[in-house]
Amino acid sequence: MSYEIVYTSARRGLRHGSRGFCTVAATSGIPRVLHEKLESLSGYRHRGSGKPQYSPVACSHMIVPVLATQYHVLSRVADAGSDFSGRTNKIAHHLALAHDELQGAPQGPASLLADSGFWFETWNRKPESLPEDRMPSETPVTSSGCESWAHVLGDAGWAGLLARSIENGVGPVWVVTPPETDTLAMVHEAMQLVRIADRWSVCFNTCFTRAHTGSRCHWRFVLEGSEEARRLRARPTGIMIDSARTSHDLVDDDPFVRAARSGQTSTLVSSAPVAADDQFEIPNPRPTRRRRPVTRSQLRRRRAGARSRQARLATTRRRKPPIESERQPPVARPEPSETSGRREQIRVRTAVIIIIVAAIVACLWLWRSGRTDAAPGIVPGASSPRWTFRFVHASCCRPASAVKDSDVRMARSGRIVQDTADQPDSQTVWLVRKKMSHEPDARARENNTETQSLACASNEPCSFERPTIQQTPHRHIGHGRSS
Amino acid sequence: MVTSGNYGLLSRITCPHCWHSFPPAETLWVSSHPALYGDARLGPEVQRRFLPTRFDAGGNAVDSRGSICNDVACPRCHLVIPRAMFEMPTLFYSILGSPGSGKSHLLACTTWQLRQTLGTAFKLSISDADPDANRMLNQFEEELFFNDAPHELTVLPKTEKEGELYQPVQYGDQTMWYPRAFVFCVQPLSDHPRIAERQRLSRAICLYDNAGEHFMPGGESSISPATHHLTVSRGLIFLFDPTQHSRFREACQGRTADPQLGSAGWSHRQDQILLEAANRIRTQAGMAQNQKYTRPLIIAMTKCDAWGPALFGDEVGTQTLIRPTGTARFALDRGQLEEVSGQMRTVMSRFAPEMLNAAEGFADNVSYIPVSALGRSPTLQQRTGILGIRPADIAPRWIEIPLLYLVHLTSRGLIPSINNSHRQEDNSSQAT
Repeated sequence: MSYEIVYTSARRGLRHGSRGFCTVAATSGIPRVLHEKLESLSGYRHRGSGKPQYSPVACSHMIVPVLATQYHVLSRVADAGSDFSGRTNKIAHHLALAHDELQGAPQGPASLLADSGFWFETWNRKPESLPEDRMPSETPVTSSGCESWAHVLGDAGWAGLLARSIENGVGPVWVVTPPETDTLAMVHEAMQLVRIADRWSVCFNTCFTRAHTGSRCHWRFVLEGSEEARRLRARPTGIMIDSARTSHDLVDDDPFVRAARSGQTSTLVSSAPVAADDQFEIPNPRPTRRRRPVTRSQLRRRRAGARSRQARLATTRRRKPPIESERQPPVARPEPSETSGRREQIRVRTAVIIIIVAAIVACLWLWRSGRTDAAPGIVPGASSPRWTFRFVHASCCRPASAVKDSDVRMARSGRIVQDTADQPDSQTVWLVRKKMSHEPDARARENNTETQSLACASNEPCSFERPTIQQTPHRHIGHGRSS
Repeated sequence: MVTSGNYGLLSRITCPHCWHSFPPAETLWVSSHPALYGDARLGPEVQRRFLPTRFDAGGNAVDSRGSICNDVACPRCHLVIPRAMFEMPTLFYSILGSPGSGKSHLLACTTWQLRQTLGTAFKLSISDADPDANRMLNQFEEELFFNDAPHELTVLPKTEKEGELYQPVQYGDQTMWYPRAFVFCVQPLSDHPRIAERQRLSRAICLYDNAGEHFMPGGESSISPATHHLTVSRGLIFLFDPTQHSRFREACQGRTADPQLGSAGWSHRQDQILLEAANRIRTQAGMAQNQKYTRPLIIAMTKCDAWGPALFGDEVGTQTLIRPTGTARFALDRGQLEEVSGQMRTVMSRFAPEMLNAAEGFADNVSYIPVSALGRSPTLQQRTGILGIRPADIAPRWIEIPLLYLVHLTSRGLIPSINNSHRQEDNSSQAT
């Protein structure tokens, strides 16, 4: 499915509340990520600060990955006069095509960009959603051969250099053009020299200002006198075609150069195997990775590995009872099947034991944590009788956690810490000790509860009231606070 | 300010592009050998970034091909950071406002005026920390103040939400667009009375030129965190454009010939911009929704040449706010500034109470300063419909005052002030 957006400065945008630079038209249902990506490709540099100067049109084709899908994005970004605020304006129209939609345009992206009836040059309407089935129609080259190249650079053969760069896969080609040049026509002519199968893999920009990370640009047209042209001349990268000076010379024997000069592109294109039968096949945007050559040592290791695998397989096959005639003489080692069975049993038993032990430990731990409110509940090392204890505030009987460690240790050892139970205050914590035993009279001793007071380690006073039945501990949120 | 080592490096640096804070030891260097191209974040056409292991005697890194490197980059976004930001504490300031409120004009005229004023009046030098990064701003200055055709109309292009003012950085499959930062170094000149404290007083000032659309509700996308500098900035300059306010326009009707207050103008809810910015600051900085912004907020009432005469007469923006002191230096007349701020507040409460409410509901320290970047009305080009200005006519009014006042409030010792009543130099500005 194709998606498109129109982006310009308007009083009201398509999205509610948007104004200024915003999307004024978009295909309904366009993914948000793709929408944002297309908006980010809408940059445009105005020339001349409002003076009557040439404003170039930037037509481009880029392959943009968005959420695991590769879109072929055709863009037309141009000056659009003034906006509602009396300032400079631009209009950007983007069309994103998925891979399966390229079959309808075998002539490549330049032929679609040449359809002037499709691309918006101004926007004086209300924001609107665009229908889903809009597609530009392919426009054939009007000139015979590469006339634009001959007109701009004096030699049509330079167009062959662009096609050669695609054929050889060498770095970007920069073309410095004077103002008022129809650079899209130059791209369109050069595209005729490229094999049909490769045309959708060619990315270009007719008014290049910057490279976008994550996408390539093979053919870059920069304007004479621009910042890019100055930088390029200072530090050329790739192939540069410039009317003033060029970094590469033309090779007259090159078939691409010959075809560009003669205008007979059909022989060049038909030499390609796909185009010979007039079949059109779009290259896969994710070509299969070429395998690295295997060294001899790697090959040796692989063969050794294969031999060992075969040996193991042979061992496995021997587990089946062989034919009597093929039976090997008995060896001292026990049968592998018996050994493995015994080992299997041992493993199962061990696992069962581990699970049971773990379950017991877990139960004990749960029981312990459930029993104690603030401090460990079982006196360590005591076999019989046992004491459980917990700390509660003397005032409100709610569990107390802020107890001195030394007091806890003394409490565990069974010694009396302090006997102030008769005069409880905010800092007093009672230690409630309950005797438990495994002896026969344990039931009788369970009610034998001793109470012991400790000092609360917290500096905050416990704002308490006299303990009553209604004042239950869980009404307090935290230590020192009452609800 | 904490520095490390003998080189006067700061202990932590904040990247002006992605606002990542990092120690200098994590800094990446930009290779300089022509063969070392390609970076994971910035694409195949930039010089490779690397963590150096070899340095020359001057402390510059040596790349894998043995070339001496000069540029340093952020370890997160890999964009180049001016070296000054490693040695001077950086003051981030945010300039925000609605589309067409004059942010680009304010920025270009402010920097130009500061280049004139700081040296003569305050004995401070101001320079571009990275002239290449400040190229766009310098072009704007040249367009307005160094134009070859001063009597022909010229315009600054409308700031875009994408394009050259933003830099793409690739994080896996995601491309983030960070705004381009304009960084300036401000340091005492040799005749500054506190030249001995040069290292302590020097500052890097970081500004941004955002499109107004970025500040509108929903204007910031997930791939373009263009306004995240609001969180790290030490103060805000909000541009309130009275020519975009219907009640101001109504009050000036028939009393001015400015095309912005006539048919060429338009109205906009500017309080929504400030509320949206407040919301972003609170969210990104982890502030409570009822918590107030403690850093200074300056409401710069732009285009005062258009609405000022209609409401006050010609005196708005013409008084001298930078006065000589007893010493060789000048100082900001804080008393008069506060008086003007009080007057403007009264005007705001009369014509734009919703704006006043939004500003004072968000920040504790709010000042109102009328400014004019161009000093006269633009002219409508009949052929193109674009509002232009003749460079020869440009006469900025108080355009540098908001930034000077912000520096005075947020950085101790750089910009002194005097109180109008007893003309006493006050260096003890409150640092926030």
